[in-house]
Amino acid sequence: MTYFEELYEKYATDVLRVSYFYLGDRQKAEDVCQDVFVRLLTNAPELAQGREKAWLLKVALNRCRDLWRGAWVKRVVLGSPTFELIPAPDDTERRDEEEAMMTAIHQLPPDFREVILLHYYQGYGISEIAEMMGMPEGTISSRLSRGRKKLETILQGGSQQ
Amino acid sequence: MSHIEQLQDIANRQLGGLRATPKMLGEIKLAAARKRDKAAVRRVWRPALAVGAALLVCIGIYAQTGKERMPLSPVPSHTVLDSQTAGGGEQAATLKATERALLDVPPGSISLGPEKETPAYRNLFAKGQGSTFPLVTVEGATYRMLKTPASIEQSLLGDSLGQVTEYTLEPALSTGGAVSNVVSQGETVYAVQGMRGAMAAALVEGTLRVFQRVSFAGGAIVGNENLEDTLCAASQVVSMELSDVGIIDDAQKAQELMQILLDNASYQSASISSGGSKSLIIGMDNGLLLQLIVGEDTVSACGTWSCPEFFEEFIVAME
Repeated sequence: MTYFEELYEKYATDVLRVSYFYLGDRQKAEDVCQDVFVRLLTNAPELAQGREKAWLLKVALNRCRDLWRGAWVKRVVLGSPTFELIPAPDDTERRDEEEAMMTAIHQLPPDFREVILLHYYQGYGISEIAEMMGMPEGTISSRLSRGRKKLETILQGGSQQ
Repeated sequence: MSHIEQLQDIANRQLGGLRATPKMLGEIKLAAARKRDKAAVRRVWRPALAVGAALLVCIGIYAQTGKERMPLSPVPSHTVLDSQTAGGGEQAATLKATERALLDVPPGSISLGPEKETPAYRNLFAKGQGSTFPLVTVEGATYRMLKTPASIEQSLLGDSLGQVTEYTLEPALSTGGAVSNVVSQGETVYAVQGMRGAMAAALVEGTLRVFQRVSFAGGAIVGNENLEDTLCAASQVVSMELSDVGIIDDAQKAQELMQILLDNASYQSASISSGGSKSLIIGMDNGLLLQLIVGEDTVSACGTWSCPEFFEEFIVAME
């Protein structure tokens, strides 16, 4: 197995799921995942050991952001209120609460969605996210805190879109 | 909200059916191979096209200026490119020395790289005589005088913001009121039409000068103001210039970028984070310009605002 294949094996599913969680569109998420790994293969960036996943997610989120902002895509394809979950076939216990939270996170404005996904889903610390996104730690902390509050509002029946 | 801490498990369960497959890996390898092939073709053609274009330019210049205005050395001092017209036969193959010299490309005349020139840093803010820049402070908002334009038309004046109650060379020590170190006491300070909160205007030594909202003495935004309140609406923007990056002179694109900035910028602090040598100059439909000092991912004038998204989009827009 080549180094590239090893990275794909380890991280492609995470890249795909984060992209899907962000965009809510499976085809677009697969496109993003493909873009990210094509870029890895063709640009051959020098990635420090242990930083590979952070690089892949950073590129993926940049691409997601671009897609989200594309006016046509935003209006017509993305941002649909029907964010369908794709549970594993053997997962029969789909709890309402879990579904509600997943959907609520998807409804957050992109800035908040990104940091929530990186922190709570992918397990990155504030300083790591700040480095990945090239932003001050204070901004990340503030977005996390505000994101949680917005999430509460959505879960209590409000809307952020 | 108790579940947010367990998002990793929840998301893995709820998205468990979504996996990167070997089929996707195959598609990625295929797409990468195609991309490499395209890049290789571009590498071959680009220099050839550049040389061709340079030759056309040389010939064009000669045609415009005439032979007598272009001194030619009968024996070129540098390497001559031999050229032959396709299918032209012997006649076309033999060129006179002067003709060959015309087709020669002088050293340094071809450069491969970005086609558009990148704008250098420009500073529109006027400098003061003393340690403090020329300013006027009204209702807790400070405006700094701009050196461009040197004066504005009266038709751009909006409502009166008040009259200068104190002229002082130490405005930071003032205790309130409308204060200036450049506008005389008793002069009226006006808003600029459609730009209340962002720009002001007042007579300075008989000339109507324009001022831009800035941070001063630890103060920046007032109350619930947002970035738009201290700058302008996206619809007012017609151009943008980011030093070392480029100029967007398509109004629609500039407005889109401004909207991204206004939508995504988050307030950092009242201070200016960088005294850097990069600026963002915003051209507006009233002919006036606003300047923001650019940091790593921040813009500053009235407070510092972080917005990496804006810079990413600006670069994309330049491509």
